[in-house]
Amino acid sequence: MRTYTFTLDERLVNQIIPQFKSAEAMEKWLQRELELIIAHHANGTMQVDTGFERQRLNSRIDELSRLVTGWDGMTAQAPTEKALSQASMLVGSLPENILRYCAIFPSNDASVYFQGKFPKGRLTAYLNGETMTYVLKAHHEIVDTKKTEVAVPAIQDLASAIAKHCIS
Amino acid sequence: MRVDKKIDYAERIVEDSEHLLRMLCSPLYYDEATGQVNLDAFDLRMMGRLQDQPEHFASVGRDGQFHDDNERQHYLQFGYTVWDDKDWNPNHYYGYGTFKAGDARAVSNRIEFWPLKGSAAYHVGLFYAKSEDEYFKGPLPKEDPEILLMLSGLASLIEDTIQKAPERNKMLHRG
Repeated sequence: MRTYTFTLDERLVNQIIPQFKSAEAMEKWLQRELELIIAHHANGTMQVDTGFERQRLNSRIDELSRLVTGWDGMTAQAPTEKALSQASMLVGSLPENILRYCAIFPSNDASVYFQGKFPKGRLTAYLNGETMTYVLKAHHEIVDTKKTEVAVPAIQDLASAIAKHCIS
Repeated sequence: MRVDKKIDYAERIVEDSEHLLRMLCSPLYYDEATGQVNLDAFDLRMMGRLQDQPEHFASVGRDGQFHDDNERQHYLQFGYTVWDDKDWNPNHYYGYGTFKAGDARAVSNRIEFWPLKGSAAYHVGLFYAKSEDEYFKGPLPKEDPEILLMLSGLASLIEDTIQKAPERNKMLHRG
């Protein structure tokens, strides 16, 4: 018998939980998180969830929040608060075993890229503060592409697709 | 036929086998933790203080035109000098990645390489076809998944070849 612990950190309490419209929806999300952890444990790919990757990417977001116009040496605009908030949502919602392959970059038009280089595929996501456009490729084939709001259900779908096609 | 006043159509076309070099003008273009390159490394930008000058092409170096390492170092030095030298910030320059022209063309049929008018031989322009008679000007419309895929394909071409540039004070000569 194994024991799994979910830590109710500030991000979970303030940003993720308020998005659920019902207790059932939250239970479903927790169930999915648990399934991902168990699946990776069974495959021997389980990493100890130290929160290191989430911390790494949150530090990156903090770094990007301090950028000013001209960060590329020319006239690139700094990422907007809204775009960074979208990135923060992804970092707060995706599991560590996905985040370990992810990087966040600024774009010259005040947007943000969320990129993932997984063992079997790639995620390319563009966050403009309003929507997220993403393309998920596995074995050089597009397995998922959407233009969507950055909200928990969409992130859950994305996490499932990454786990199914690009990691497991 | 597409036309652009910056293209020198009289010059020979860039061969598929030619090794090209893309400079990355900020550490923000490369993530050492995951070995990924910022897609913006191949985006087109808005230039100038009024941001009213859209880039038509991404400039790429021609590795075969450098006769020795000294010339290559001269080219890399541009990373420190083409961006506003008066406001020089060491964080503005990181290094470069290399790729073959043919591999980039295989990423998307929108990608074209052309020599530039009035330009030295050591670099050429990477253009993006918008339609049968037009090229994109910067920034690219990145809400378009096709554009995202194209930029991702280009960025992944160079991610395993990233070289940090030598520190400025270790350069051999000023350009």
